[in-house]
Amino acid sequence: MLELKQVTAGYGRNAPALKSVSLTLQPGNVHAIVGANGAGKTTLLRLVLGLLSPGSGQVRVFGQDPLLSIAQFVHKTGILLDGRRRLEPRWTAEENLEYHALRLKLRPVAYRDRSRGLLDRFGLPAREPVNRFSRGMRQRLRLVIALLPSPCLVLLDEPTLGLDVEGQKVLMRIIDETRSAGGSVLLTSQSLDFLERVADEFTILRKGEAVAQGPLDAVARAIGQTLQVALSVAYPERIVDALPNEWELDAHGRIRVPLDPRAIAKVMELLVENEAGLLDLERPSPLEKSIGGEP
Amino acid sequence: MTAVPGFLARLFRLQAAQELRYPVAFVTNLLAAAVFLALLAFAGRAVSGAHSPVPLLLGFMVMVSLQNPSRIVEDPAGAPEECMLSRWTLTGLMILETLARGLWMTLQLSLTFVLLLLPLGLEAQELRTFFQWAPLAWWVGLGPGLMLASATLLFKRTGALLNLVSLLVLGGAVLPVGAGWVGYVFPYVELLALVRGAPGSAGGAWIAATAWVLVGVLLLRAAERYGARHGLLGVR
Repeated sequence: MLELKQVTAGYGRNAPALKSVSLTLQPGNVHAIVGANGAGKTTLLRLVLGLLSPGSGQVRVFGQDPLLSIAQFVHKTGILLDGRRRLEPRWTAEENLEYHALRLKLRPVAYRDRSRGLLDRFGLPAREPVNRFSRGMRQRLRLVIALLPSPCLVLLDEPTLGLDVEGQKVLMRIIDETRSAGGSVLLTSQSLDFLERVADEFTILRKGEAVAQGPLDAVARAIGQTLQVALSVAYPERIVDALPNEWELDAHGRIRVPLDPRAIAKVMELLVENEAGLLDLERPSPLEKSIGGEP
Repeated sequence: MTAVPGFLARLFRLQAAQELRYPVAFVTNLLAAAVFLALLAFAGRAVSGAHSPVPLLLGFMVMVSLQNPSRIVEDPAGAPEECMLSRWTLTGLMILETLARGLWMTLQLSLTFVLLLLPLGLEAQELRTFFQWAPLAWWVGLGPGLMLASATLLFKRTGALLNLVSLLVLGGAVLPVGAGWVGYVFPYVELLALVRGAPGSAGGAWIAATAWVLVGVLLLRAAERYGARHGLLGVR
């Protein structure tokens, strides 16, 4: 459905924003691009959309060069670029959707039911001018517009910007539905938790280079991380001597142990035996350090 | 092509909905335009002795179709990308949106004209003159509009340039501008001559304006290609 082969691209005379990146997106696959600001995430999406031509390498979307043929597949592609979308504040949500349906030449019978359904799911009023919408509501509307054409390929750049928990849940369900229907999703977000929940595969970009690619555990291993559980302990000093050397106890009283039932059982046992107390338990994202640029 | 009239009609309806949703702003804009045009018309009378505000109304029309393509490209909400991520070509979308805006402006300027009837002592006959030349005025502005849009696409923030060109357009409408050979190159000059009843060729003005549109389309397409190659498409 989407393929990048050894693509290098950039802006003007600046250093290339992407260096020799390859990526394949199969039907039914959700792929997340992870990286710090300026890592090349948006550049990658712009290449896929034919808004930027590669300096070298090849980009294919539905088997075609997007630079030449974007108009042929834009009506079956859901696009949210850089978290933005043209919203006319004096139009209602419904009118904004109508404009974008016209832009994509969608037939009224095809898009009207879908737009009502999407507005309902995202909890948006159809007939209220957009200038009365909050920031989060505007982002929801941008997503509704992106999803309007019943896309089989969805490209979302920072879809969680300004989106509340409920909005994120709706988006997650829609991404799941797209995957189940055999569609593909390529997305970026600074919300690692969100990406981990929805994506099957990841590409870690660092200064324009793909440093790791694959499912979460493979990516974590490639960047020198393991999946861990962090336990915030009330009285860490009571167990500090009993902890095996390979487990970390940080300055905030958090013990990090591998995400392994035996290790978790053992640490729980220690906590109970030493009456150290447990305040919180979480699984830190192994992707965090990849964004920070640490190995 | 069958999609064009439908698209245009719905764009016009959306344009009307947007303007009429805030009636106070709509009426105030009409009054402000009327006052502005009246002042310009009085100034024009003092300078050139011209009595009709029709050249000014048409100058306004030229200005709208001149500015609109750049406004679309310069929209800060990611509009340039959206125009390109469309099943219409960027040029097609610009022409249609500018046409919808032009149709709405025709209606708005007609109402402005009605407001100017009494204070300027006009005759309803002149409204007919306005309608007669409005399509040519729209077409005359489109060519330079597309050229300016290609500059906006690549260089960004060309608002001051647009204002300067618009000022020249409105200035031309109140000053005695001759036609002659200049009219063959600048169809706006020919249009003004025709409206003022001076000798001129409407056909020649249409042909010259069409040549400008064609050059505008070619420049815009070249700017699109250059922009994609150099990563200039988008708001920066």
